[in-house]
Order: sequence, then structure tokens, then C-alpha cells
Amino acid sequence: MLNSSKKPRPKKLLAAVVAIFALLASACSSAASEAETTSADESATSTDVSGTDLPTDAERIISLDPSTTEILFALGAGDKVIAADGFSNYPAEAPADEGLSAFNTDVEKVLSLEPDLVLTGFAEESLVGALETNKISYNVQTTPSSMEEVYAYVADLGVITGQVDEAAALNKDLRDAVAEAKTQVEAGDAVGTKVYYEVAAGDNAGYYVGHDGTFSGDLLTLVGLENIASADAMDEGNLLNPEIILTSDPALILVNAPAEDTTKVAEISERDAWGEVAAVKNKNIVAIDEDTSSRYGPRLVEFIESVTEAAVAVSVAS
Amino acid sequence: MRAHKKATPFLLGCLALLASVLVGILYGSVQLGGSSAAVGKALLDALPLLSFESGLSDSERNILLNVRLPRVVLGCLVGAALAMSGATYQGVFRNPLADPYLLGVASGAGLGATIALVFSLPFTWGPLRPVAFAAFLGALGAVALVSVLGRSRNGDAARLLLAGIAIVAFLTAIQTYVLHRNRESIAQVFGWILGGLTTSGWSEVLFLAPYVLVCGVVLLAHGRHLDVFSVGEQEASSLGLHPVNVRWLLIITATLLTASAVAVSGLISFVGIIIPHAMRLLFGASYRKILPLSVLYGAAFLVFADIGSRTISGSQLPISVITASIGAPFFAAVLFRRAI
Repeated sequence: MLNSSKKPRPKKLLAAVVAIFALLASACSSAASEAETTSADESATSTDVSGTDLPTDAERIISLDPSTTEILFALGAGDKVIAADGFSNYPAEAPADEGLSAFNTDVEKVLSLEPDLVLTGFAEESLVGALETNKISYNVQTTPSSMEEVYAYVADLGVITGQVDEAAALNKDLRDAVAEAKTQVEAGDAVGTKVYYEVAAGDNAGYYVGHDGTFSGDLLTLVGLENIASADAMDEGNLLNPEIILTSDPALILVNAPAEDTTKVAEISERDAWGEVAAVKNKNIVAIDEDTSSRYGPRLVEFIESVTEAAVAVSVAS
Repeated sequence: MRAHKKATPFLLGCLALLASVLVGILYGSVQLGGSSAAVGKALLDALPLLSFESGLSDSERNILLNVRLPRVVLGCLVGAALAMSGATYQGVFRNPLADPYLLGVASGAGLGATIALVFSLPFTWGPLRPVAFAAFLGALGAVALVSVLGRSRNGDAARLLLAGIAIVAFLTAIQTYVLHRNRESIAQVFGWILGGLTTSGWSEVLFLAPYVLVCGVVLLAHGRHLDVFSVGEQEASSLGLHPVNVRWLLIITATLLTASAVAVSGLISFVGIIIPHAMRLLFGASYRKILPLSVLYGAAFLVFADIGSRTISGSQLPISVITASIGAPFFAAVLFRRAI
């Protein structure tokens, strides 16, 4: 009985295989034309920071990036921010209670808030796709690598929200803070103080640091200190090898920590082989409130002040 | 009476699927139109020839029809695809531990997605955005490699499995290396790996539906062959099957199905292994039953899991957390009850 079904079998098989390949092929051919329109669409709606096709009259903004949230509020555009991501904990009135996240965005919630502009630090595919489908403007701003990029982004947010003067004022505040810090560093005879700025301890190979290719590391140089970490010295995993830190013998160590947390300072001073580093020997390890240093916004002024204070203190002590 | 009893698992499955779809449409992270009745009316209103006054705003209707509905449909398709592929692999390899990711689909897709995320690849393919496209290519590439390496004249399944282990380890090593050099992308890559049914509209559904349809028909038509396989390959060929050819067809089809599902949903764990086993334990060992039941219950299970993922906590939980944390105890209970 079953034997009789043996012969037609290969045909059925063949038919099934052909069907599958036809499916693949048809998807392939329709892809070529569609891919073009997709990329054309993308260039029309997504822009870099200096793009000109973002609205200049946005009234309902969703910010999925805590730094952006801080800047918007500093520009007096806080009332236009209808929702912010869960990390946007400053200022206190930032509407962060929707539980939004830039990395795993609840598209349904974002659309239900009817934004006319979404600002994010990460282009999550489903979010970007939904925003493009619904013709909602958006901008993706990755972390700036220098203070000049920070100033440019602040200015752009000023244009987007129609708060150009306020943006100029915020940038002036930041530049003034840098200039004032530089003066103090010079007056305190702290120019060229070697600084190692630890953002986080890595796994076991090295440390995440504020090197001179980051906006916070850039600030150290701008106020007249010597940042021992250059972007070139970072390894392929973006970590700094501890040997470089030890041979540079920094006089001051800054370490990112949650506010009021002193455990990181203690941990660094107890590291094996770090005892001979000048900063450790002279107890010049200073915790920096990580929110003020990791966010490129108005609170960088606080970061600049604590850095300056720490550097001048080192100079006075020696 | 007997026919009635036979149909019961299917009826139950249809009911479960219907219930999951209804709940999935009525409830989301936002309450549309103030009540679920309004949502129901809006849904009926969207059907041709029917007209209902739902009170939903245009924006709410847009969310319902273009965000929530495609997400539920995608959940059905992905759930059905993974469960069917898992059942097929288990039958083809006669291995109860086989899941749809056995032959490298997951590690290939993971490597593809990692590369696309780390290097911000711009390539799109039809409705597929760069990460999904790269994942799809990676999945197919990995299984192609496994097939070439594990090929043998007599169609020895163990060779294929061993080749799978080698390729999975190799691709995972490359992925780890790429990630290690680009740690800033770790959060994004893990977000993708954990899987989820985030849709940007109907494009994911449009991509996946043809694969589920064609591959599903091929797999469902071969339930009897899988039953014969379960007796043993020699017996299968003595019964008039060409086991190597049929097996390759089933492996290729199940792989294509899994790869297309993974491309749009990431690596959702547990569905592919648990649903077929639950079907077997609850309703009997014939693949002629297991395959179609896996479609129904796999779809329903994933839609329910997704409802959990978007409503349980403030932000969206990774769906694999739900599939495993609900699925594992349920499965253990079934296992326990069968043991005594």
C-alpha cells in the first residue's frame, strides 16, 4: 500500500522546495525597489543634529534621553515635554512616570501621547519605524565627544523649541563656568595637575574613563588640567589599561559615584599596587556625583565646580 | 462520541487563541477610548460593511489598528512558527531536547543582529529593517554552514547535531568578540537577544505571514512522515519513504520558518520546546495532532505572554521572561501529573 506512494513523492518534494525558493525570490525582487524608498524616507525624516527639517515649533515633545530632558527644562521648554524616559530624574518636575525607555520603547504609549517630536539617544528600530510611518519628527543624539558638540546640541534644541535666546544663555553659562574654572585653576597654581577620571571599573581588564575624547574628559583639559587618559590610549574594548594609570602617577583621582556614596573612594584607595600613586598616597580621591558628570546639560556647571575645587585643593595641600 | 472527543483539543485551542487575541486587542499599555467596549466597537467598525460609533479619536484608532492589532497578529505568527518548528525538529531528530534554535539559528541571528547594531549597518530588505535583515541572513547562513559541515551520505542525524554544536560555539565566540570590542552596544544587543514583539506597524506581519503560510502548509502536510520517523529511519525507508530527502525538506522548511520569526521578534525562548511537548503530554504522541495543535496553542501562548510583557511592569518586560516563568511551572506541572 505505502509503496504505491513512493513514486510521486519526489515530485511533491520538488514542488515544496520550488515553492519555498519562489517565496524567497519574490521577497528578494520586491526588496530592491522598496529598499530605495525606505532609505529615501529616512533621509527625509531623520536628521543629524544640524538638520534643518526638524520642526521649530514643537509643542509636544517626548524626550527619551535624560541629558536632553535637562537641557529642555533649562531652556524653559519644560512645559512642552509631555513625557520623558525613566532615567530623566532631573529636574524633579520632568514627567518620567510613564516608564518609557529609549532601548525598549513602548510604541503604543509613545503614539498615544501624540507627540510632534521625539528626541532620543538611541535609534530603536520599532520606535523609529513607527515614527516614520506616522510622520512624527524625531532626532537621535548620541553622546557628544567634546564640549563643542554639547554647545552645538544645546543651540539646536533652542532652534527646535523656539528658545534660541535661552539656548545661547545656557551655552554662555557653560562657557563662563569653564572660563571661571580656568581662572581659579591658574590662581590656585593647579595648572597641569595630572587627573585620572574613572567613570566605572571595567570587568577585569581595565577601567572606563573620561578620556579626552569625551565631553567630560574634554572639560578637564579646558579648565587647565592634564587628563592622563587620551582617546588613543584606550584599548579596543574602550577600556584603559591600569598600567597606564599607574605609570602616569596622577595627582588627583576623580571617580563617578552616586551622590553621597563614599565606597568607591575607599575601594580605589585599597586597590593592590595603587598605593604608590600620588593621588592615593595623598588621599586626593574625590567622588563626583555621576548625574552631573555623565549628563551633558546645565548641571555640567556643578561638575566643573567640583573638579576645580578638587584640583585647587590638591595644589594647596602640596 | 468518539469524533467529539477527538475534536476537543482543537476546539479548546481555538477558544484559547480567540481569548488571547481578544484580550490582547482590548488591553494594552494605554486604555483606548476609556473602555474596552469602545475598543471592540472600533474594531468592528474597521471591518467592511460594518459601521459602529466607537468614540475613539483618530489617534486612538490608529494605535489600535496599526500598533496593537499588528502586534497581536505578529504574536500569533511567531508563536505558531516557533512551536511548529520545534515540533518538527523534535520529530526529525527524534530528540526531545531539540528546539528551533538547535542548528544555529539563534547564534547566527544573534551574530547578525550584533554586527548590524554595532556597525549601524544601513541595509534594509523589503519590510525588514537593518537589524532584522542581518539577523535573518545570519540565521540562514549559520544553518547553511551546519548543513554543509554535518552532511553525510546516509543522512546521519548525529553528525548534523555535532556540526551544529561546533558552529554555535564558533559564532557565539565571534559575537562575544565583537561585543567585547564595542561594549557601548551591549544594552542594545541584549535588548534584541531577549526578544520582543515590538512592531512599527504591519511591515513585520507582512514579512512573516508568507513564510508561516507556505512553511506551515509544508510542515503540516508531513505529520505522518514525522510519525513514521519516530519509529526509526530504517523502518521509515522500509515503509517506502526516502528518509534523507524528506528530512532535509523538513529541516530546511522549519529553519526558514524559525529564521523569519527570529528576524522580527528576537530570540524568544521556551515556546519552541515547551508547546510541542505539552501537546504530546496532554493530547497524544502523533505528529498529525501535535503539529496543528502547536500552531493553535503556540500562537495563543505567545499572545498571552506578550500581554503580560506589556502590562505587568511599568516598562516592557522582555517576553522571554514571561514565556519561561509561566511556561516552566506549567510544563513541570504537566510533567508531574503524567508521572503519577
